[in-house]
Amino acid sequence: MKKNKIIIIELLFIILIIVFFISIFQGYSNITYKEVIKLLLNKIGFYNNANLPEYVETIIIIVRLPRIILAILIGAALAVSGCVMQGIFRNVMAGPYTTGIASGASFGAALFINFGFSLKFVTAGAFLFSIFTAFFVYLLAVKNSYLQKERLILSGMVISLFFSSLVSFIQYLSSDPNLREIIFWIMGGFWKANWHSVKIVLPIILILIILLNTYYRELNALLLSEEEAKSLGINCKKVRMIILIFSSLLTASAVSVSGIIAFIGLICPHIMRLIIGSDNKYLLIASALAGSILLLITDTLSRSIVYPVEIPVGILTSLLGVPFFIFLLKRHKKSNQIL
Amino acid sequence: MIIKVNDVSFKYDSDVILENISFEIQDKEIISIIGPNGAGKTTLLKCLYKSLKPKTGSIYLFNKNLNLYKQKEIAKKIGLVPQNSEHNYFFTVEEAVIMGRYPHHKKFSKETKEDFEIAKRNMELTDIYKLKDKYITELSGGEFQRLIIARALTQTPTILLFDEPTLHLDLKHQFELLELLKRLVDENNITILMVLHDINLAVRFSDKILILSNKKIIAYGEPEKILNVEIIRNVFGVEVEINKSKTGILNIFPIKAV
Repeated sequence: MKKNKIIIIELLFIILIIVFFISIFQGYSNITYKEVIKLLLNKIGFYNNANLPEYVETIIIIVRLPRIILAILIGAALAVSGCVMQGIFRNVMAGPYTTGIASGASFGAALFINFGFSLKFVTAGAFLFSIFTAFFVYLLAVKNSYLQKERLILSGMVISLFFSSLVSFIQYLSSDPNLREIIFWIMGGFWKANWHSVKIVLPIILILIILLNTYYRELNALLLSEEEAKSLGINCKKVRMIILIFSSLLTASAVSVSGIIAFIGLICPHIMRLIIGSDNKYLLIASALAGSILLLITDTLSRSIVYPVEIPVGILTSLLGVPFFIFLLKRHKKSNQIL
Repeated sequence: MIIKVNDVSFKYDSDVILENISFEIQDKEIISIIGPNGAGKTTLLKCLYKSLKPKTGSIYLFNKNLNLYKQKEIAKKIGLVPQNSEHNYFFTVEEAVIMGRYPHHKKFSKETKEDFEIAKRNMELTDIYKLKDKYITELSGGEFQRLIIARALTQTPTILLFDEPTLHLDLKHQFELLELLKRLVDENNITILMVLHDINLAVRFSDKILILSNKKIIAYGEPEKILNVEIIRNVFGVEVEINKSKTGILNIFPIKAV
């Protein structure tokens, strides 16, 4: 059993590597497989006499690679944050979007874009508002010091609507160039990917995912009833707060780079639960890999199906993810409402 | 003495639930808490593992005030088998039982061989080892109950708390469960405190009975000494007949509500 789970994780990792290579080869410039491999070997320092045309390096290193890395990072970030939110809120519907946290983040981003701040501050704005939203929704969902599932989603949805309206309002007021920026957030996507954003979010996302992984025991215990978690020595309130902060940060850093990409955070953890089980020791890593794979596949498709137009990646994630999820759900008969 | 409850009162806002509760629990006993609905039985249990904090009075666990314990330290000494345990998540039986080791772990420590051995021993004790690779969603009610007991035992506690453990079990499973508890007390040096609804089961399996009614302790002691027709009429509002069976066990027959 344990071995099977490790094998599944290894398989996911291999799939990610394969998808990585498919994605880097894929595109509408006339670059051959050989050239790509030569270039990559050259960059790592194995192959010195590359002698490639300059546009190859530009397209692969400046255009495709950062985009691929961002898709992997953000897919993992959204999936992990969805996974832990479903866990700490004990709700199958919880995720970066249904809890309003992503909408809070996009409002923060829109606000800071509107005032002409740089990317660093826009990220900070997204983060600030995602944390604020997380706690506000959490407070609304708690009654008599117990967390109520229905209240959580209800308040999440309402807050989400509230922030969407505010974002629309900002759009209405903002100047043309700012408006374009804000619309980019709402559509969601990676066409503005560059190494600068990789440098900002790579350490944040990696550290947060590793940190959340050290909480796998607490996350498992929180799946049980409040009383059982306490009886296992878990300080529910404190742990939930810490994990909520980490996962909001994850959502915020993802949203600040790629705008709104729905569904990854909601569906990847569920898909992985059906395959690998609920034990967060394996589930978090598996969800992260699944999120990376799904987002990388969809982003690759989104930039290559209808050239030169890009299909917003959020549309494709739902189109691909939902049928697969339905397939798995049908196969598991007992799986309604399972965390 | 394992637990000493000293003049404990508890209220939610202005609703008084427990009033001036005092009692002591000795080593290796089975104690049943009985009483009508809303008497505060579950609240009393919750106070014992610090899920709720008494408004006044104090509780001592191994002669140390419960407030001085961290939740994790309590979890090493007290295990809980709650009334409604959810099982709508995909854990294998073994994964669920190993959760009982959580209080013994530090942040970055890994599950050791010893942890798995303790889990295995308790799965065998509760007769669920053969199910270890099954998902808990596939278990029957009785199997799931035994799983929760195995998990609580894997905490290696000295005290086990049960909240109506026989609630959803048929007669055979009720007896099997209570016989298992008796064995745990005899063989594993464990003290058991449980909330029970069935007076006859409580009499049959407990060393002591604690009668809780209207926020207060009405009586506490060996079943034969404290149970009589008057006390049951006063506490439960039911007219009963009490006989002694050939094996020397009290039989309580309810006749009618008063």
